[in-house]
Amino acid sequence: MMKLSFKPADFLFLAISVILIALSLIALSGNNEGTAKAVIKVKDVEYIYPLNQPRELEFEGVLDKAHLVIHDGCIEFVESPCRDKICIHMGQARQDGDFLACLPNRIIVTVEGGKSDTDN
Amino acid sequence: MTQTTDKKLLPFLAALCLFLAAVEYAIPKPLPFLRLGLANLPVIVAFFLLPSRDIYKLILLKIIGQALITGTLFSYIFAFSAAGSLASGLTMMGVHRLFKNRISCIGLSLAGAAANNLAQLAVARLILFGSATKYIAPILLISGAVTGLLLGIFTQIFIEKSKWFRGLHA
Repeated sequence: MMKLSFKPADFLFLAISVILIALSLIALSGNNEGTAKAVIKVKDVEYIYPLNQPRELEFEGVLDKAHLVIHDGCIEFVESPCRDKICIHMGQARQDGDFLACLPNRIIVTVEGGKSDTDN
Repeated sequence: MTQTTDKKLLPFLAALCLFLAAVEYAIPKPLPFLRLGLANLPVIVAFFLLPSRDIYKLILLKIIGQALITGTLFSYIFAFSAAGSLASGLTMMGVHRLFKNRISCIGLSLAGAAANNLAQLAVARLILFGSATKYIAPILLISGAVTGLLLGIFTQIFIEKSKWFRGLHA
């Protein structure tokens, strides 16, 4: 009867498992660094823009054209064809997790990446 | 190994997969994806007993059997289970061929667990969670490595001590 012993290649796969875990953790923590991006979903189509470059955007929503502006590291609605203008009143989104939504016009903006305040 | 043992062994190992899937189903899990992977034991053992074509059959039987036991045959969970089992089976097959006697069940099980989890993460990214998959990846990979390691050690002890296995392997 043999006693339980690891063979050479076992350690290879032990190492691979540990590396995979490390990579998955790095991917997780790396998310909050780098530049923040605005992910803009218009009628199920996604557009992504970095927040560090000023930009004027126009999207054709379900109702009509909406006007968004990226400036000073944040994004906001400036004009929208919707009735209540809730999207404009939501103000600026700048941190990971912030979002703006114009449901009548079906435009949803979420900010991904960039350091968020809750980290420290 | 005679032809008759060959023919009995495949259904026997497939039945063992079903039984272990049922045992696993009875064990409560904190999250649906965190599983022990008990049903992989017969597959690992099969690498030392069956020719490759029977191992492919065993993997397919395991996928279908497991889905029948857990009632997930026609649900999206089946995509996870099938992708995971196929990936882990094929990976273990390749690894076993590549390293032959330089690898034990422990390494096989770890390789299978890693392939299983990577495949499931890929499916999760495609059909369920999208980019949010990265939040479950560490949990899945850590638990997979731990259960893979434990199952590998258990299987190794089993094939070293089992008289049944020695009888077949001789």
